[in-house]
Amino acid sequence: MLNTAIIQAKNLCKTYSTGSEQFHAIRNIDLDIFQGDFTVIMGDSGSGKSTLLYMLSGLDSLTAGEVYFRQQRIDQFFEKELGAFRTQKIGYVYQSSNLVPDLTLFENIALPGYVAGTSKREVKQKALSLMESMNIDGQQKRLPAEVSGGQQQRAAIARAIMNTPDIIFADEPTGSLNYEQGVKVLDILTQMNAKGQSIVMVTHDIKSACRANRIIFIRDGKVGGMLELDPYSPDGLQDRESLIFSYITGRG
Amino acid sequence: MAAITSICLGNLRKRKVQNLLIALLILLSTLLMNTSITVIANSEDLYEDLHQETQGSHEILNLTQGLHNPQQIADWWASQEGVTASVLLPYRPLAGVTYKGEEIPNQYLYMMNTPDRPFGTDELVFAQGKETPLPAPGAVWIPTSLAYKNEIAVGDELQFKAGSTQLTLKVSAIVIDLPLGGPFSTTARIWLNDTDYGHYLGGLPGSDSYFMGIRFTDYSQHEAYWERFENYLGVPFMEERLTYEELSSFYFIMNKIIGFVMSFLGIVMILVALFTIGFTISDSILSSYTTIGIFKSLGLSSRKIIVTYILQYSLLSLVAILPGVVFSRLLSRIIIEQSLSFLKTAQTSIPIQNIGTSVSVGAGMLLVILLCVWLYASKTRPIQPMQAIRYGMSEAAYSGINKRGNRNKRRSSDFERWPVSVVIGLRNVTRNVKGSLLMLLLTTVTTAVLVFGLVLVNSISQMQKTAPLWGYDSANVVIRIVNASELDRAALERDIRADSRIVNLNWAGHAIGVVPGNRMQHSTSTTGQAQSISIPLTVVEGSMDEMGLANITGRNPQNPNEISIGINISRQLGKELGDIIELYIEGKRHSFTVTGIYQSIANMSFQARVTADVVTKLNPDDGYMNLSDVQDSDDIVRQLNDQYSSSIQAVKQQTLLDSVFKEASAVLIIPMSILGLLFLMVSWLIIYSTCRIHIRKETKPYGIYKSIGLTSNTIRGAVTWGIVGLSLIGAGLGILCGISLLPHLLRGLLSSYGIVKLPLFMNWTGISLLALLSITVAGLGCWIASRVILKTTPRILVSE
Repeated sequence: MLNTAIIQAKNLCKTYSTGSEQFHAIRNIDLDIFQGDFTVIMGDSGSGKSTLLYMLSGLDSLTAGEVYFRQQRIDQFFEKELGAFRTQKIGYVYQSSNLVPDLTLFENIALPGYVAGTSKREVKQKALSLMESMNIDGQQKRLPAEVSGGQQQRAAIARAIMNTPDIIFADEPTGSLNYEQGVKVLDILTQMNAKGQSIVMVTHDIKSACRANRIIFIRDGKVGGMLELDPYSPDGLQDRESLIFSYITGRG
Repeated sequence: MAAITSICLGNLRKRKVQNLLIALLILLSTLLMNTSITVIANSEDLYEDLHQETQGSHEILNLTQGLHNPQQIADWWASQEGVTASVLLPYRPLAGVTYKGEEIPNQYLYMMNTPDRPFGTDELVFAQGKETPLPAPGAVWIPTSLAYKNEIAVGDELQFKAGSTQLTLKVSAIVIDLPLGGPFSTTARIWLNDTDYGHYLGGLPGSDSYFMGIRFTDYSQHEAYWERFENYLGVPFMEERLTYEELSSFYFIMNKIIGFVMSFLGIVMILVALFTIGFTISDSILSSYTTIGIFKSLGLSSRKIIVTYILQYSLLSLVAILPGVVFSRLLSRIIIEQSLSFLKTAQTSIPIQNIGTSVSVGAGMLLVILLCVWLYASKTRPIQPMQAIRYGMSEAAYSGINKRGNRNKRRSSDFERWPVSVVIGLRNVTRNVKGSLLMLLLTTVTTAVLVFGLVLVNSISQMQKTAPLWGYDSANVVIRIVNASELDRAALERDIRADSRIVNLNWAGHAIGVVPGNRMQHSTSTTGQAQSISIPLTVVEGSMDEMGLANITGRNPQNPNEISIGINISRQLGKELGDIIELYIEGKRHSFTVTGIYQSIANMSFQARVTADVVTKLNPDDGYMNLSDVQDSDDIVRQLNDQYSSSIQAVKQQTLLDSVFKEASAVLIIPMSILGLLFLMVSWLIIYSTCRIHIRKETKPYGIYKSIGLTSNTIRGAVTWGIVGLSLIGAGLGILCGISLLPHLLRGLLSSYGIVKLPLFMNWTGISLLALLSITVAGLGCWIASRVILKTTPRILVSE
């Protein structure tokens, strides 16, 4: 593993106000995400793990603190810079695929390429190749509603990596899929990471977390612990599960 | 009932902006519709009330040529039962009038020897000044049409030319002279007492002419009276006879145009309002589908749910219609006071009547709106609670989503052909078909209204460029002989012909032609009119072509037996090109072949043109000159007026036309501007509201676009450009409607006024700017509505 930090968070805070009450979702988090890592953020429901992901990826504003992407402070970006950052540097995979419902799978995947201003020929080639690698080739002209949830999610991953981003953020990418489809999605992410793709994934599922080489536990808006693992191998899956489980319960 | 009220109030609170927009739309529709109806109804009522009050004539006889015995005629009419005839009103034509050193152009002035009042018909109404039985010595009464147009007040002095005499008389009263003092009138009767009349005008050569008014108790019987009258005369009546329609037409024409345009556009706006209400209700039903399902599951019937919508829109309508009616009466007053200002006196303003009509319009609006609401709200009837709660839509709609997807499947990717922004803009339009159609319609109508208004006002105000098509000549300079006895005509002609700047000179005068009743008419006429018809003739000594007189079909008369007739003569007599018309001129019978048919606004196309060969007593007193360079007009006019000041009056043609048509365009400017502004407002409101609804529905895709790097402004720009593109199409269609469809409809209205081809003057720069204004308003509406995109964050994509 290279120990270069791709994302650095300093003293991150996020507070939501509801009338006179204030809810502190993230409290003074300092964190580094390293290049080439498959980082998983785990935590209970409402612990602040998703909020942390949005803040690290520039999708949400901060109440306080700083976020750096390769030493560039992204929380002070103007909208135009933020737009370019989202197009070129990051890819995002949501729990639901969030494909544009009346664009075909091909169009959804190709869209970031068009936004980036890549030549139409290149976009087409890349999108078709991604569809093939995601095993959804032949579905180019289908609309999201016409394919399975797993195929939708694989299309969403293809869209996320269309512009070869430096890092992929995935928020419960298997959360709305059945087991079989979920495994397929995790396999794709794992293969991408094996080729050097940095990934940050939020999950509460231990089986999904097993794919990571680094797990950050969030509790009540704070980093509650961190677990470093060897790179994922299917052979040692059960041991990893046990290790993570005991780490959680041991801490709990 | 409590449940219904509470749901209704909830709907009103929840969609404040939407409800406000609908209320505004209803208000504006009511304003437009009620204004048009009030203007049309009040114009006729005002005229007719005054006509009744002043014992207005249905016909005016103008006895100028001595072809009949005036007293014999007056006695015959006075002896008829069911007829009120005025006394004979003696007059002498005047040569001109000067006010504050400036000659008032384009006025035919008649100095009346005022008999004892009442006259019998057409009693004068005193608008300003003290009412006295007769004008005081050295003073005159002048009509409102002359006074108001030239801002002459009581106490002012006017200089009149009568032959070689210059009379200076003081204005002691301004009177409403209903038959000859209407809008656009070029005639004015000046009232002088008998002593002054004899003193100042007694020495003039020639004899008095006479006006005489005839009022029928039952106007529908007037033809029978005329048949008896001509039987009594033994010959057709051969002097000038002005009918009720001719006398009243100019009081109505502008308000009919305004009323027509307003009522047509009022209907369009009501349709737009109904469409918008339907669109809003449909949208509200779709977005509250689950809630409606829950209400139904709790036992609320479909009827009660429909009643909630009816109650909601009843409240909105009431709030909007009442001020709409009130404002429309204010607006109607402004329009009517401007167009019928000559009926206004210093003591009383013009009363706006027909409150009952306004109430009916308001009630009608409410009824139509509620009917529309009931129709659209009935869409809640088939809602099944289980389906609504499970799918948020009907099961059929839910399964229809995939079908819709299949239809789209065949198209190739837009992104491969167009930039991302263009595709987003395009999709914003194509995914909202109903809304887009509404916006297209709005920009079309708004542009059409603006363009039509501009074209109309411009065509009238710049009519010197299309004068022949309005029935006027196109000569550069006109000279009018005002004192023939002092004029050395040969010298004048010699001087003019010697001037190298003047290309040609033609003379014209006036005569009356009489078409005998069907007993004497031997032609192919199918009209079979029982009585004779008196036709004002323009008699030309020279070339009508050189004068610039034009026909809408055929050519100008060149030979003594040829005639060109106005379109309304053609209609009344059923004569076409090549037909024969028999006319009595100066008591002699002539046969003419129709060589041309023309239109003329001045006399409702009820006139004809012949050559001077057939008129023996013609005094052609109007000379029409064309110049090699129009820039010389001012010099030539000044020179002629200096040289022949006591006998002629030279005027530029533009001055003559301006004096009439600046008045018309001024009357039109306010209502057309108000219409334009109203439609711009409505256009903005609806585009804003439609875009707002649609953009809110599309928040998720916009969130996705943002998450892949598009900025808010890029998305807003794309959406706005889509609407700008749509409004560009609308503006194009609007220009077509504004220069073609609306003038075509107006032509239908003006046809009865003798205008069948509307001579339009296109100002393409103005038209383009107005189209651009319409597009800008649409774009602005969308841009402001798209502010919601600023607040859209990709976080909405997250499933919590």
